[in-house]
Amino acid sequence: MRMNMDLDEHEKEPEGRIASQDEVRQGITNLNDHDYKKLMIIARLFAKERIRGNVEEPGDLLHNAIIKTLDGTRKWNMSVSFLKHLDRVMESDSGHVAEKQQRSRQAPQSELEREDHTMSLDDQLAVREGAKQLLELFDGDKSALEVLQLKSEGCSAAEIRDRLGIDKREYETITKRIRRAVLKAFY
Amino acid sequence: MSSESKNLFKLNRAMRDLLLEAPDAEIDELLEELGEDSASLVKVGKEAAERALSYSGESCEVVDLHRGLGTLIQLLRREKRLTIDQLSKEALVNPVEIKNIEINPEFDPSPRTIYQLEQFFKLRPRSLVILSGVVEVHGDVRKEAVRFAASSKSITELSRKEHKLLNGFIKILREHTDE
Repeated sequence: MRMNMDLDEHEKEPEGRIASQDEVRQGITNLNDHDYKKLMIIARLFAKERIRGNVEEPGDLLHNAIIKTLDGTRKWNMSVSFLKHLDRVMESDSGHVAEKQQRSRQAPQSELEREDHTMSLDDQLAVREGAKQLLELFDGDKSALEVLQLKSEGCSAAEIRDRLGIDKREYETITKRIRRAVLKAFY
Repeated sequence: MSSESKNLFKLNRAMRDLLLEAPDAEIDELLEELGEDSASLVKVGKEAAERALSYSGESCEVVDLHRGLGTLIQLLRREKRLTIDQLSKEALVNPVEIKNIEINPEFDPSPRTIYQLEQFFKLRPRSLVILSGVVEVHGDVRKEAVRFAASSKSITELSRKEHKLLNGFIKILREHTDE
């Protein structure tokens, strides 16, 4: 399943201060072993799923994300965690690499491709396939789908619990199931 | 982006955000179940970060030199009681470039501008070249450039202290252009 698409242009930037280079360096210094594990898991998900053919190394994706943050090409808005920021940079980067690869493989446009002027046929099929895979992954696990949907809409953990009428423990159980399912399927 | 793909995109992000929020113990448990060597993952991640930091450190040196350059040009200009526009006309350079040199340490000045300014201020050849970052310099030039930039104040007329500072820095540059 496609783990990521190109950046949503309509998504608003969160309000907050942009980190200085010193703050970025401090952010890097503050990363602990578990942070690195999470970042490398995510980098690997991007590398495996998004980039076919010339597989970019997960370490290189992370390296480039950090470089871009340090040199100011990608600015870290400090209202989001440093980990989340790096995730978004890797998401964007892996999308660009895949686009380049696709352009080099692209066949002439067909009538079907004109259905959505912003997406190639390959991407349209991937989206439909991705949606199908997602439903299959959480088939029968309605609460997992509900949590994921609310999370995707920007709800916090407290808001999700409130909306679904679940307590903290149940929320943690559901999110653990989601994580396990995702890694087992796509790692 | 269609609404279907937008939704999928957001769901993917939500899954990754949940991964980032996972408790540490759970991550270790999951990695073990996947047969992944956690220590190797951490090692690769740390190496990636270290490479990025050391690469970035190299480019910081040029920024430090540019800080020295910007301060030097500003002080030399003010010593002659010139505005940026006046300096640009007399030295035959672009005023926007002078402004960028003075205030933006990430700006790379053109070789022509550097040469013109050296000529105009009657500095020893290469004095400004070594601050432009295009040639390799000794580490102490960078340190002096940083110290010089940090020590000067932004006032209209040069104080006696700033005169002394300016002359001291020019002397250092002179020493390095003798090599």
